[in-house]
Amino acid sequence: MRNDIRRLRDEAGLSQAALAEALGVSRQTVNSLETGRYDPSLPLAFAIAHHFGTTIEEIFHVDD
Amino acid sequence: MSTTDTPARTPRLASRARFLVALVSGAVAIGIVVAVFVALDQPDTASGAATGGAVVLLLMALARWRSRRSPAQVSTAARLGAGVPDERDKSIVSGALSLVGGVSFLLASVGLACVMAGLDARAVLGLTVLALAVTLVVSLVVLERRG
Repeated sequence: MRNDIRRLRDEAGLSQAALAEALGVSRQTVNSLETGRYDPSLPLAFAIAHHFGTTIEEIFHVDD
Repeated sequence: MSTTDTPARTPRLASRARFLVALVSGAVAIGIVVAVFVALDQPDTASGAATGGAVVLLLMALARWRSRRSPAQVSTAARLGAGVPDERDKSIVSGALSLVGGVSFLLASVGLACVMAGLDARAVLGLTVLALAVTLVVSLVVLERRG
């Protein structure tokens, strides 16, 4: 699954550590999410979408 | 002040309380194991259990301290030891433990064959536990790097 977390984080001027702190996860988890090595749980996906003021569908895209 | 006015315990305080309970429970468990070995007249094994247990508790406390001091730097294992894993850490440890479970069937079969072949059962049992611990550590490291 692809996602736009890195772009949204860059636009918000946040570091991985700052985003991790805001989401209550580790910096390594944010890194894994951004590189597509880890797919988040539904609650974390909602938290990410809520943090950036958008929807899950706008952030996460299924690979075709 | 009624009970409903009592402020909710903060997540950090709850986390600290859980960690302290785990630490004290671990110390009590080690104490029981040591007492059992002493009662069975196995002072060397009791000493080994006490030393090993103390090292584990010390590593847990160290991991907790590091994870609070510089959370971005610590590994999955350190967060697990500190009692502050996130959902990816839980996923990694779940995968690692499932691998250990699978390997345990293989090791039990090999161990049984070794005992049947005449090897010392206590040595085989000790090596089996050691192999399972190594499997857990290696799978944790590999899954953390991949996941």
